[in-house]
Amino acid sequence: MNMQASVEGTRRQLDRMRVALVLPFPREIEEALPELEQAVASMRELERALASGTAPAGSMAVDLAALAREVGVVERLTEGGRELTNGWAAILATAAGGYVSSGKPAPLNAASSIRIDG
Amino acid sequence: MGSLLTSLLNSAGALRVYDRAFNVIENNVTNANTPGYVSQDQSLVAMTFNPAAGLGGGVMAGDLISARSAYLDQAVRSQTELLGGAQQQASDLAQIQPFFDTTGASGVPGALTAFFNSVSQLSVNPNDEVSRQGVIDASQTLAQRFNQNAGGIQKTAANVGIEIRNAVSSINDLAAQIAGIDEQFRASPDASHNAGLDAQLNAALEQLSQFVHYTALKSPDGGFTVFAGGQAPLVIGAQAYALSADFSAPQTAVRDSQGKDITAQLQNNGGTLGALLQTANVTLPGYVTSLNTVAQSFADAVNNQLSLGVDRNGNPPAVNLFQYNAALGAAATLSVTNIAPDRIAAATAAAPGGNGNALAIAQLATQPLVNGFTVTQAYGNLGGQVGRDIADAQQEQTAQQNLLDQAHQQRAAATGVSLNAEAAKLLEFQQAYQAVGKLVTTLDSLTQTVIDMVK
Repeated sequence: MNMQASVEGTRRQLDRMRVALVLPFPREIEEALPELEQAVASMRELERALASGTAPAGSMAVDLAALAREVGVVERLTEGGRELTNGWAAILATAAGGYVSSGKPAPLNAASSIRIDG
Repeated sequence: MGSLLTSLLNSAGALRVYDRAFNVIENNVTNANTPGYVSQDQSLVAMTFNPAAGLGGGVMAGDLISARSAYLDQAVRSQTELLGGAQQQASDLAQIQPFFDTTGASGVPGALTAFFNSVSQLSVNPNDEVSRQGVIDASQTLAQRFNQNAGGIQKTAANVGIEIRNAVSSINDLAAQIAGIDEQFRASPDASHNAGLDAQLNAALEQLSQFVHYTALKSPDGGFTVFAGGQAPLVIGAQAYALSADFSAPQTAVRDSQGKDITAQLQNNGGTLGALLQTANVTLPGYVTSLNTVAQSFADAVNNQLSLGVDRNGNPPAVNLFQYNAALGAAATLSVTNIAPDRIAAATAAAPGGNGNALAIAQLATQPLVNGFTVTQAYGNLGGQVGRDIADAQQEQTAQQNLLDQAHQQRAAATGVSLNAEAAKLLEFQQAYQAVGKLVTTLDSLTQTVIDMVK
């Protein structure tokens, strides 16, 4: 197994998600999810290969440290985005449904819809 | 993968776009109930992706896309015009109704009945002083009732005149407001995408449609050119042209800023001003003419019949019972002369001291004196016409209100801010972040494990 290529591939897939996370469309994030799943699968495979000794560890420390940093960036972006939308959801929920007796915003409901693109 | 700088620039640019998209959601939610506001959406433009040329792709914010529909706005304005006219007409005519009592218990019908009863009483005792005075008293009451009826219409006409002044003033205020907004559109090249200005402009145009029928042509900068009645300039660019009301002639006129009479373009053509002009120039004068005809026909018939008889002394009457000024209106000026009771000609010349002429006057009650109708019938027809006009106006008001509600609903469904739609966008984001979060946590854990293994 080529560990170098595997880590680079994971970084590319992670970069795609990082870009998607700063775009104002949830669709972009959804479309990048399969690549992120592939990245997880690649890392699992790498873990198994290292554990079985079929892959040489070589000098991967630098690349793996860079990957860890990029995972951290994506993690923070995701967390930031989630907090932002949660805040917005609370504002929107109060605009639409007011507050419940506990003083919290009313649950946010959205009518279901089907979107067809293309 | 692009260079670090390209990647950073991409992220920074995308974050700005992201910020703008959220601002649009914020504006939509904040202005969900702002008059004239329509839902906005942020369009995005793909940037060229060519790493070799240093172009890292990504997106940039494009134009704001407004959900405004000129067709639906026009439908609402047209219905607002029609409802404004119907409401005004119903309101004006409602002022008249109390003066037309058609039950016969009071007002002119009651006074007519009392008059003919007094003449019948005179025919029973033609030389009785009290009966003679009773006819004069009943005549005075009847004349007063006609006066009050005409006065009521005149008072309504005066109120309509005040309302015409107010409507013209409101139209001029709104025209100035629209011109002011147009000036802001012209002052800033980005203003054509300003949802707030757009909302103000459309709210003002919608208010204007309540007052007057107009044609609005949109200019490329986002402003409007407005023609009252379809022809008279009201707003051209940033300049408003004031209308004026002219009460110098019997027919109320509305003039454009050049002094040209534009009444024909506005009257009965929608909006409160159209209805007010119709009421002032057609409806009320029509009622006055009919009332004058009834009053004059009645007074002439009674005076004529009296002139054929002789008074208690056997002499032809020297003065009429009723008098009026036809030029000022018979109903408004009808009164009883200073005729003395003994000068009422109750007898015929052939039988002095008898009741022949009193009976003939009493029979006038059943004779077709006014266009083939008795006096009471003719007055009843007029009262009935007023009642039908009011009922028609009220029905029209109800119908137009329903149609306006429908137009509002159609527009709100197509262009209004849907909090549900905004909520759906946020829920999509929340779900996407949740999915990413789980995968990234797993990836982070795996990466740490692998790092530990290669150490």
